[in-house]
Amino acid sequence: MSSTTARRVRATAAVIGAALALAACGSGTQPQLGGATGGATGGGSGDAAIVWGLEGGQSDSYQAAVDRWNADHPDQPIELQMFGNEGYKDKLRIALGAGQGPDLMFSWGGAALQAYVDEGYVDPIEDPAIIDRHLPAVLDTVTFDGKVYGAAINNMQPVVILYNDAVFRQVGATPPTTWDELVELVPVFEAQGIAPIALAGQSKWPQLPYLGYLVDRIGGPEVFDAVIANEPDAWSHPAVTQALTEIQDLVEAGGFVDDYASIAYETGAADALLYTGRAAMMVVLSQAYSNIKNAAPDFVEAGDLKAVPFPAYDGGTGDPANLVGNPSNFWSVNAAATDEHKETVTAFLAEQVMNDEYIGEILDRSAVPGVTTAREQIAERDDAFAGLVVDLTEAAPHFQLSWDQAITPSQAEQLTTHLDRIFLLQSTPEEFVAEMNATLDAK
Amino acid sequence: MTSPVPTVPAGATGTRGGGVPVRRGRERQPVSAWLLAPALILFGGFALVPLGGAVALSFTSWNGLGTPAWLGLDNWGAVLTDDVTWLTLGVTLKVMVGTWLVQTPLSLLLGVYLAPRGRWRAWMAAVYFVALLLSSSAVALVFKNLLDPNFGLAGPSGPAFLQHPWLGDPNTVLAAVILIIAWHFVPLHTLLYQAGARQIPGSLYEAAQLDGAGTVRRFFSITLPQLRYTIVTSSTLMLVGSLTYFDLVFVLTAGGPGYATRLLPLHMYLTGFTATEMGRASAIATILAVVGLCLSLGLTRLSGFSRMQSQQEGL
Repeated sequence: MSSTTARRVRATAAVIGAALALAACGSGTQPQLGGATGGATGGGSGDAAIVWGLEGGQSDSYQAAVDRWNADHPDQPIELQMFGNEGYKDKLRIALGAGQGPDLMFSWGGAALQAYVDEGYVDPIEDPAIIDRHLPAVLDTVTFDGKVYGAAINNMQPVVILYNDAVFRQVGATPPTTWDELVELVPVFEAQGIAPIALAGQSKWPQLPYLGYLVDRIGGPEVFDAVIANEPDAWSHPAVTQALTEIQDLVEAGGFVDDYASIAYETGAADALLYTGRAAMMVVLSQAYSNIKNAAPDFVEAGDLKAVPFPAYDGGTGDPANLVGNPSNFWSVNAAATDEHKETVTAFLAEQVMNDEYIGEILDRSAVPGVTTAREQIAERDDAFAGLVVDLTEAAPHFQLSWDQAITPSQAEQLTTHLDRIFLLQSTPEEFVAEMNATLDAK
Repeated sequence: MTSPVPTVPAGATGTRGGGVPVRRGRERQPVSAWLLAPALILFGGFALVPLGGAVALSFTSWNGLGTPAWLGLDNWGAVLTDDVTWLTLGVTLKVMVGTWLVQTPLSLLLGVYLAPRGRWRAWMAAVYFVALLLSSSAVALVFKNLLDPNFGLAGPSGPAFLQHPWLGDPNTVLAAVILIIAWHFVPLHTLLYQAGARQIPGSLYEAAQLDGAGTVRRFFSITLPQLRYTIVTSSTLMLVGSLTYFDLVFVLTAGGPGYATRLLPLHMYLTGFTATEMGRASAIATILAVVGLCLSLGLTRLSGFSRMQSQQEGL
């Protein structure tokens, strides 16, 4: 995504007034919008098995794997169709509901996938060659009733703090290890005219890790487990209110870049703020490291992009080693696919996904796939960021799937909207708790 | 449509083309019913049936997968008592009024200006209509990038008066959205006014000129009254159309920040496809359809458009 992103940011200036450029830009970006514009890429050639993927730091690997498969198996062709993040989930749901889904679908696991499993839209994966290579935390996300419904296709993505080390050196600061230290850094960067934290607020989901981590650090994983289990008044736990208050305090203190509410993640502007030195930190899925490495290779090459885990919270009962994020993204087999296509895509998963070549490509981007088969290659390489991700995930007692994926889409929509209002200081923690408790009752 | 009209006797078919059958005038009805068929089939298949489907769905609980479960009036109760529904309706009304206030004067003046023949004007009209040909999503993406507060024109490198997070500030985002909608749709309404202005007989202006009326007087006394029905048509399109703005706003702001630009159609989409509550979204859709219908019926009735009286009597 990020190469197109950088291009788009640069294109902004060139675009002014050029009507034809407008039209070209529109058609060029349409597939990125997926369901939003109804523009699917490609028409599907002949009887190829269709695979849907999402643009992202690792998406080149999907195409490479499909190309390798097609070279080896010209009689069982696979076609990869790529989509942007925005609108993909809607598109997938509509397509599956209408019987037009792909043979192999991209997903995040968690409650959204479980809904498809419960309705019989997804087939379990039974090939032990695929199942056995996964790390337990990764497999948990796609295991329902003891069966596995997805194969990991990219990397473990804990949310970490990425920071611009050059900016930190410039102001003489050290990365925060506790929440209080993070708050104390705000005036330090403000004084230098640097935004302390970059945030793509318009996309809403980049705001979720703050709540996820703070609740976990303050009250432990049990707090959100109660939400997932739809226990009455689960959101009333004091850790939630405290976390929301901390977030609003940080907003009021000027912790986030001034105009975060107009920054969409897909445009790459938040990443760009960090690597251009206009912001010091970003709390973000580790995936952003790969995105920035693609968009600003010189910056990463110079060793200025560094990472630390989300800080501990003084007085909190949660283990500071716990992680929040996406254990992986997955490909799941459509139950409505023909037997031939099911056979093709299952063999494709076993043969071309997470083989040594595939793992190597992911590691090249400083990302770490959640499979045991990657261990040897990781050991051979000396990559500080990949090493950090391995250390964090191996040491984590609990790896919480991103909240918007872990609860039902209906609850997630309410969650992102109400958290947005918390960030905008348009509602209070008490109102948030009441609104979110109502979503539990609705279930 | 291959069979002949059944109620007309075989011997009478010959008279159909001749237009003779004065007596059979009362039997005309079955004939016209058949002629209506293509329109009825299209309208029924693509408007009435889906509308009925939406109404039916609004009484069910359905997440888009599996079978809808009967729920009764629960969705309606929830939608009508939900503050967000009324809030989004308020936003929709604001956009509706703002859209009309911005677009009507602009497109009226532009349309009248572009109406006279002339190479320069024709060239300008052609260039100007390009905006209309672009897809809403493309327009939204371009403006989103242009208004990016860090790397776009609204950023430090842009002109000073633009330096503001237009789409991130709940106080300015609605105005920005209304102006972008205007940029996209003013060409359409200009086209309407241009065509309307060209219909006005030149003799009216000549007579007025002989009587000593100036440009302004001629505009208010001839052009504006003559364009009455064009104004009604254009206004109806604008007002009812603002109930359908979705793609542009979805790409531009996704309804945010907070609820600042969550229009009713966008609320319907988010409820149906993001929150996957199709039943509740169908209830919102039904409300939208009813509001749109009342609006267009009310407009045509109030304005006298439905009476279709000529503005050029005596000419």
